[in-house]
Amino acid sequence: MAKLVIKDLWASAQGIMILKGVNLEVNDGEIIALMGPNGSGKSTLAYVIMGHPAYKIEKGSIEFDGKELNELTTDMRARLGLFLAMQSPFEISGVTNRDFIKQALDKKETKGNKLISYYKFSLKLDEAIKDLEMDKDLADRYVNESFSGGEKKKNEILQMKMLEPKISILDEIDSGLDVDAVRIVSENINNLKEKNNMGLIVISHYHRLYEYIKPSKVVVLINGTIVKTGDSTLLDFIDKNGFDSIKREAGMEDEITLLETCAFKVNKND
Amino acid sequence: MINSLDKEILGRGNIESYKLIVSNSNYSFNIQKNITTKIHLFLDVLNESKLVFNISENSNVELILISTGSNSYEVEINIERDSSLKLYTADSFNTDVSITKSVYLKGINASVYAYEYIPSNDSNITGAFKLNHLYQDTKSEGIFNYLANGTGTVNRDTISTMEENTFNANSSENIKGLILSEASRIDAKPILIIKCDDVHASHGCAIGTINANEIYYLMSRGLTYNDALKIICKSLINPILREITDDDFLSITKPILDKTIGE
Repeated sequence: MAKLVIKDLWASAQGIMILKGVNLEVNDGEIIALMGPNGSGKSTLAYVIMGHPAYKIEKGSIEFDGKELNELTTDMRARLGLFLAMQSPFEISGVTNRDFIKQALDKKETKGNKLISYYKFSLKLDEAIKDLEMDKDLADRYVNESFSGGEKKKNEILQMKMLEPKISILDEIDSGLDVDAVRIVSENINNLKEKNNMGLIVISHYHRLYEYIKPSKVVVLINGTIVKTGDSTLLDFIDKNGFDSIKREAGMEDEITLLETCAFKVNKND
Repeated sequence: MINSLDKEILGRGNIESYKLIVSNSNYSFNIQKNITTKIHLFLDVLNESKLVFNISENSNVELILISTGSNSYEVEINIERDSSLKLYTADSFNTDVSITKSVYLKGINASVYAYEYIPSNDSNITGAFKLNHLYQDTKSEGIFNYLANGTGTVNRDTISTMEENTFNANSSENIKGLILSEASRIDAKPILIIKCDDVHASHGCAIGTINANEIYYLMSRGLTYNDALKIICKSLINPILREITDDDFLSITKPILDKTIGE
């Protein structure tokens, strides 16, 4: 049974504190919608969970299946069964998707298991490509090189399908996808979730994705802190009202509001 | 004294493979007109030498040229009208050498695609890659990849020259350099010499250490740091390995190329 537990997590980048005491728990089979305005720290949280070296954990802990991840390298976390589908996947010129995924799978499979044969791997890859309605040629093209925005996002899900992680973080997987592609990608995510009882943290700005991937819990992150948690009705509320009322409810005002307030006070005093 | 070995390439759709031990010699390969052929050539350069390839009109040639050894060498390739060359070349030398490759586009619609890989591990590799447009409607594309490790240095000029009356000629050069150690160095100069108004020419050069984001991306899929580093370095030789269709040739050259990335 997989479980990701984040306790009082404080993290910084280049000396600036971005995450300020995040607490979050993800169990297998659970889908958590992580929402928040731009710059609130959603992607940072995803990167910190996956051990990006640009971010420093100042306080708190991340545990996966009872094992503390704080000191583990990114690859160790991945091999334990964590996966991050990135918002802007990087291009690796000269390395084919096929070779890259096979190597990644071999690394995973060596944990006490025997390696998957190239034949079985190819069958599995072909099937996953077909499921995602991707161009067959993408398997033998260089990783993300000259891919469209949509192809890059599908390629992230292709890797997820092949690696079969226990818990996945999907960072704006719907951006750059057309209506049909959102449906196809969502179906594939749901199928893998059902098959392996995978846990998910789904980051998106758009309600539409959550119509396909139905979250059991909605979490709102603002200014590096989780300020509200609720069920799926919270999605409708945010869709209609935005984040302003949640900010007010949490006693948070953004910088513009504060500046306006100051200006108003000055004028008033005059 | 200069020895000469002339080789006539005959036939259509051939795949030919050679290993040459090169010593104080001039070698020439003459490819007849109306021929499509693929040539694998492995050079062991013992002394300064020169190879000349003459590609006659209306021929399509793919040349995979892998070299190693202990001395400098030079390649000259002449391409006549309506002929094309795909050149994949890698040079693995443990001593200081100068390697110069010159391609001459000598007729209308002559074209070349060149992919070059030069690693340096504690040695100093100098020289140039020259793309010479001598005629109108000629096309050249060069992808140049350099890797420096240990105390190695790569000092290369890539020069596209477009002579007078080369109307509608098109040339592009792209250089990528990976520096793997503090003491290593890459100096690469993309140079365009344009003597005609109506041409298209471009160049790009990116030299630096390994991109940390690429490493992170690969590690986020379970590859260790060393695996990620190797896969990025290997990305420079993969385009060459993919073109090798002769198993015997592959069994000789792959270990040489793998060694350049620490495998």
